[in-house]
Amino acid sequence: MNRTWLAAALLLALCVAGALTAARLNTFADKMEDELLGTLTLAEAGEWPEAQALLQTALSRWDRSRTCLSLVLHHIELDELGEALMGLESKVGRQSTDDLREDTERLLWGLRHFISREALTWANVV
Amino acid sequence: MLIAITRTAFLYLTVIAAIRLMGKRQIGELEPSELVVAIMISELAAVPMQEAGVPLVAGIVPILTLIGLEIIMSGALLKSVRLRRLVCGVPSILVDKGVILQNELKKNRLTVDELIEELRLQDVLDISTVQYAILETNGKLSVVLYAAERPATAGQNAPPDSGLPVILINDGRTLTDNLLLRGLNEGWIERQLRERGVTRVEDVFLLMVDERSQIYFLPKDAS
Repeated sequence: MNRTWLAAALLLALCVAGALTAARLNTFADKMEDELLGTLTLAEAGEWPEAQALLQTALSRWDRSRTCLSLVLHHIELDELGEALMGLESKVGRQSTDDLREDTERLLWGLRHFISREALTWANVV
Repeated sequence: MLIAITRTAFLYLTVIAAIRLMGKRQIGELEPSELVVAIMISELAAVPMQEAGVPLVAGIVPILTLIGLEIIMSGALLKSVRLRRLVCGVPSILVDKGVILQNELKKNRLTVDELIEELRLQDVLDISTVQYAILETNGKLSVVLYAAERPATAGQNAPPDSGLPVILINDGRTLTDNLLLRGLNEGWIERQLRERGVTRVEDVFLLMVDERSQIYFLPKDAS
């Protein structure tokens, strides 16, 4: 019977860990979205120092969450997102708005797409 | 490469823990649900082991989930006869008093050649000597011969049973738990060693005692 309880506890722990990871990823994606869209708005308004500061906040959030993300994302996807973020950093650093909106939206779509795969929806299950 | 080694070691330990948690039955005889789990676990462990780009969790979480489900399922199977019948099936009698039950063979999709082969594997050449042959739920064939055909058992002409021997000294180390199990103590060990001309436990390779207090003693080689 002890073994059965252990198994039940294990399944419960896995469910809780899954739910916590999904919640953490959603919060992460929301905050990244706010910060990247904010960066875009500031850059388009020509407020480059503020845009750079906000992008740095997003980049440090990315670095902090990398371990959590590597639990659920394939490493190649992580690399793609990291590369896209570095591209944004470079553009904002050069104060260039060329394709900045497209790049930001593509990055956000990728982030949302990869993270939405972890959501417990019928579409994902089947 | 170090990543591959670390991940493989991690998954290896996880799979061992998984098989160990599922219990000893898993290794020897597989019920249908256990077979499914064994196959799935090996497949699940292989993918993140081969591809460093796949998160380790993608292998470990499903393995842990399978273990959890399997243990709960086996607990439920112990409690419910109906569920056991549904999941594991029921044993089938294939030979009844020397007669092959053809319908049962068909039902189990077994040919007569396979049945005879199984009987031969159990040293049975003459079907008329078989009282019952039962196909168990784990796929093994149990054969019960008529009493007159069974080999003589030890019980019919056996010396008194000496019971299970336990090891008291193993390669120079005293196994205290086993000592207590036999109701003995260190003083008893010292006496036994003295009688055999040995002064230290470290000089003994093996000391066993059975339920009739018969002792097997082997000192360490001088080298």
